[in-house]
Amino acid sequence: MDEIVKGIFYVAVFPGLLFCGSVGLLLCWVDRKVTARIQSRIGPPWYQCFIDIVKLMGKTMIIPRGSRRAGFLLAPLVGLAGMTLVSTIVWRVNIRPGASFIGDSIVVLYLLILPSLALILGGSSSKSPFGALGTSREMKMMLAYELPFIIAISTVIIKTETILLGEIVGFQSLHGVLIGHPSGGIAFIVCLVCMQAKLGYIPFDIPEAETEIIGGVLAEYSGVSLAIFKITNAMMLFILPLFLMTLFLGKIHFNVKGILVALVEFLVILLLILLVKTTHPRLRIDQAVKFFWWIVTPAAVAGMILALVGI
Amino acid sequence: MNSILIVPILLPVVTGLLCLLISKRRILEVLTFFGMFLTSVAALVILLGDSLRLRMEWIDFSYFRIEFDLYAYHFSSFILLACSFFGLLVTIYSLKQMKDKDHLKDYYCYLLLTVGFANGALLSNNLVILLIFWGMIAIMLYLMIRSAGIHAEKAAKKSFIIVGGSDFLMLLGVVIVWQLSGSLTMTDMTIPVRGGLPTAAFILLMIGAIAKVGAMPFHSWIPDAAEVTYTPVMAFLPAALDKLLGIYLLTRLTLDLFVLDNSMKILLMTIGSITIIAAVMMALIQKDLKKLLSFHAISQVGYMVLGIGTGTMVGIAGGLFHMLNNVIYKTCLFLCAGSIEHRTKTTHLENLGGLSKSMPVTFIACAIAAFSISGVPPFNGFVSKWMVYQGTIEMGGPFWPVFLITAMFGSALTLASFVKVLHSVFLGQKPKEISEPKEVEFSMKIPMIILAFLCVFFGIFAQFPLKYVIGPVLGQHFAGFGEAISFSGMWSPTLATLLLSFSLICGIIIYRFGSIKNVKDGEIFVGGESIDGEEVRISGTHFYDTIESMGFLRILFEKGKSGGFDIYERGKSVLKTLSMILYQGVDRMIERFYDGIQIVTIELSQYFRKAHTGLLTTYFIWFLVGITVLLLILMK
Amino acid sequence: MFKDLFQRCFKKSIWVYHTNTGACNGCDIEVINVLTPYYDVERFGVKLVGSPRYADALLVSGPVTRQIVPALKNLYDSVPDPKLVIAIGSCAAGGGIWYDAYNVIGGVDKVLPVDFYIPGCPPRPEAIIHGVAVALGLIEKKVAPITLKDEGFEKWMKS
Repeated sequence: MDEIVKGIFYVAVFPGLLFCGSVGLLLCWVDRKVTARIQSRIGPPWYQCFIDIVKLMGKTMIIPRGSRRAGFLLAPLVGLAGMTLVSTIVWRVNIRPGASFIGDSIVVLYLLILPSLALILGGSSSKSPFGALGTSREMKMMLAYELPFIIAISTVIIKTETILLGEIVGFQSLHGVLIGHPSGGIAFIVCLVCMQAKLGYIPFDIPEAETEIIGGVLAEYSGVSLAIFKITNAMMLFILPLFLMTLFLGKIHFNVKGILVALVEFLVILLLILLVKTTHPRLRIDQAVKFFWWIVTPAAVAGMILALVGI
Repeated sequence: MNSILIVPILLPVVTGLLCLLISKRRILEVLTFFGMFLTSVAALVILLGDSLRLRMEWIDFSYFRIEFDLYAYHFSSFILLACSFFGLLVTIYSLKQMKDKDHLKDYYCYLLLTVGFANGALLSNNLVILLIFWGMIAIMLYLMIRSAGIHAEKAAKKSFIIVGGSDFLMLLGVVIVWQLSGSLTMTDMTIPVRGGLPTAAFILLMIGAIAKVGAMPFHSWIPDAAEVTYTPVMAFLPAALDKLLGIYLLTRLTLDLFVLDNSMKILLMTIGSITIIAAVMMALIQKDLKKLLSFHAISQVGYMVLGIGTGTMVGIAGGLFHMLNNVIYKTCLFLCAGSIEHRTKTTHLENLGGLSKSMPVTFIACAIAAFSISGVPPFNGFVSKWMVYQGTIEMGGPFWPVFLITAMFGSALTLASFVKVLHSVFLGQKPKEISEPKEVEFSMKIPMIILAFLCVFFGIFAQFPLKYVIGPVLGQHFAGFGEAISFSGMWSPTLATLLLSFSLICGIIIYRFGSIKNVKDGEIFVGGESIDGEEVRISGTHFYDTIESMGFLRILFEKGKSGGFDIYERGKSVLKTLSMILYQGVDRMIERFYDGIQIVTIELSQYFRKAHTGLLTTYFIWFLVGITVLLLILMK
Repeated sequence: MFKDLFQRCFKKSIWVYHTNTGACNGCDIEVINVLTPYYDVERFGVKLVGSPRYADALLVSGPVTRQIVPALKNLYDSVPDPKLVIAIGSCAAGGGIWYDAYNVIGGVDKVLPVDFYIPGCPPRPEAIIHGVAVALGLIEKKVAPITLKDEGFEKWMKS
């Protein structure tokens, strides 16, 4: 019972919904500001994303006639639920590496499917043809980036010989961060590219292509449900680089120097993602699938072979 | 008490044979239902008791004994219950679905006979008895598929050849086993697989199990049967029964009968991995619902074989649990497909759509089963798949990352395929051709609801089946299973589900904050035009055209579609070549040999013909020569 | 309480959806100019979105042609409440040069309830920003409506 109450606290407040949601929205602002600066303009003020969410929550929702109402409304919640659980797990491992359970890296992998699944369900439930198109694209995108992502995580597992996230972190305290080794470095780059696709950022924001298919998966969403999708995206922006850091850059030490180092690492990863986002055009879906399957996957396999050999 | 073991075998067989005599539909249905029900009760009784054994002498020569040996311990009795239970569910379902088909008494008779023979195979402890029942099930398979009509003939023949052929290989394996261990009783032997002969025995017996279960390369009978036969038959046979039987046999082989070494394990794991990926890629491009589901059945088998092949405790537990889960959600999916077919008379994905509003129960059951099969937490598929991954990682050995990656990627592909199914059939828009279908009747709903509920239950409270069912099976061979399964250091599905549902509640709170009350209805926005639903309908069948047409994969897909990987087709062409060689090389040769003899004989006789001149003097001289020779010989 | 918060937030984050109902594209180009780095409006929280479902404000340009009236109404219904309609350019404000053409309805306000007009042919980006700022309540309206008297014509008539 005690565990359940603690669990609820973790999920709702501390490393869960409130904390990650707020920090995620701040990071959304960082995204817009950096994009603005790269495009030589002033960006919005720091509270802009919060205001966006509040405004969205106040608008009326329009539900298309004839769509499956329950599925339409349930889809954003599924994504949110999955994301909160992932954020709880990742933060708990970072704060207390002993608290990780067996197989939690794979559990995180599977739970990360839930936000994409939410998009897919949402797109299908609306009666719109753009939703159907978006669904098909999102599914193909997921197939495309899951393969190298799985291979990269397997590389980490091979190298550290464990699948507990806590022990992966511990391994890196003993043997140096995983990025230092060649196989870890390759896996890190592969993961970075897959992160770009998972976050739905250009050049891989094909399912949500705003200018192409009127918002694709989210075409018929408005109001609160859209707000929940945006919160889920914000949390993903926060948690995914953190997950990468846990896997490849080791433990966050909770003293002043450690926190500064962690912050710098985090911002560097974020900056890499944003730089790619602002300087590339959008790919077509078959180009994206070919890119992931014929270029990124062989790279990931090469990294895995290096890890098997022992480098 | 021991003779209760006969009941699950005899009762369905007798009832089935009785069915052949009855032609009124009502009595038939009642009879079948009670037959199945009583069998399930008997199985439950057997399960709740201790291990039972029944031995009767059957054939006894001095050098060769076959006992009629039935043995029910926790594993076999649990699967016995599962078998009878699924038979019962399918019977309830068929009451309405098969209402207007003809030859109903044949169908029910075969159903009961199959259950009876399957029970026999499960309970049997003697390899020969097992083979007998196995073979009878193969015959029943042919008959059940064939019962759909003459157009099912080809598919039924193919199934019988593949499964029956593997039976023959099993017979060979049994003979080798008898040679190696001197006995035919399954509980009495443990053969280490080292060296040529035990390996051959293991592989032959394994082929028997794998062909029944449908792993590659013996899979091709399942999709062909799926196209032509009745859906309850599909729901029962390839989904439920074959998996239970085949994996039961495989587990007995790997745990009890043989002691595996690494090369065999790797062979099993390779078969598993290839099955997973190849079958699910074929499933991605299918346009017919039943064929798609059958390819998924094949693919899930890969997980089971992979789990059992790892040889570690967690892996085997995962494989067995996956078998249980697979039976639950596969049967549920096939039953949903049957409901759709019953109401809309078609299973082509192109012609379906938007059925979620009119068939909500079917939709929810199908969605739950679809998410279970894809391994989405917190349903049961995720727990068993995760255990299989655990086992793969723990096993170590060479190539383990390859197996892990294929398994995880296969799960992503499964999700893709089911997204397509859900979108094409339930979500999306309804085409004009389908008039408003109603929900299926009550008796067809019940099995689906029960199975969907089990999916959720086994997912959230996974401790129960693991501790009480699968634990004892492995407890014989691996110590410490009980503690490992107590979930203290493992993923606890209950806690996770609780937290997930709490997050859902948080989401609902956000909804309340955000004026969920002001909700309007509106048309979809397609650029401002008011376009009719039919014109903007996008069915899911073309979702994966991109993947299908990508370079290297295109070639593979074309070969797969045209039967390039089908062992039956390949076997047929090999046989054709072989028969042609035999015809030319042997048959013709003998013909020519006979022709040669004929020619030689005629030549010789021509030669002697010249001696018969017709002149009396010549014959007189021959007569004198002959007499002289005879006198000379007689005087010696 | 929440409504108050929402009112304040609404002004600071308006998402626009731009539509062209038969314009010559002059106003459209000027609108796009507004959204580019030189005149950056994102600092006010204004964003261009790709679907009317996300939008708060409709930017309409062009005199409304007959064919587009049903589509325009459909579009207006697709935007969730609360919404603004801003008519950009003289054509949208009252038909412009085409106010009495045979195929033009003449001005957006004949079809939709317009909240703000930004006249000009085309209006400079500064004018558009001025109009948006007035709409957001950031500055006072500087120009009052005047009625035009054609003094030159009367004088000529008398002479």
